Amino acid sequence: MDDIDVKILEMKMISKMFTGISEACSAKCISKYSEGELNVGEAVCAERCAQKWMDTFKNVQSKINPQNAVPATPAEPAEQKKSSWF
Amino acid sequence: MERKLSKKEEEKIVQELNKMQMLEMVDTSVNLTNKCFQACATNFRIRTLDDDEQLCVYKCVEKNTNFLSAINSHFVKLSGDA
Repeated sequence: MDDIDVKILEMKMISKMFTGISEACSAKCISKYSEGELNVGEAVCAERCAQKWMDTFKNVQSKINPQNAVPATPAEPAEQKKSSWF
Repeated sequence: MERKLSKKEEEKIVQELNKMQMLEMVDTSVNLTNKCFQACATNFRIRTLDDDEQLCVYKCVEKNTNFLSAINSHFVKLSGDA
């Protein structure tokens, strides 16, 4: 495994994760295709769904192989990013 | 394959296997995440997993692991017969 392999693996992983998120979240968030425009609920759902998916992914990974688990990101910065309307 | 593999060839196989395994690991974790996310994520009013969802994901992974090992033992039995 050289550096190129690692880099390629990383990119493959990111693209797989993106495919996963887009499939899962369009199934969860879009109820009907009667409009071309994304409505507010769907947009908000997309954002939360993506975050939730990443959360799930982290949980799954740390359960599958606990030895090289991704350390949980500290809650503080995420808390600050939250917009005021929640 | 008749001839014995050389040292270099053996090494190459090990390398390829390692690469395959890493890819496989990414694949399984993404697929499993999808499966468990579909089954567990129901509350889209908050952006993090709530307690129920977290528990559900935990159980989902556990069940999947157990299911795979059950399948695996059957598979071993079946391929032993063949």
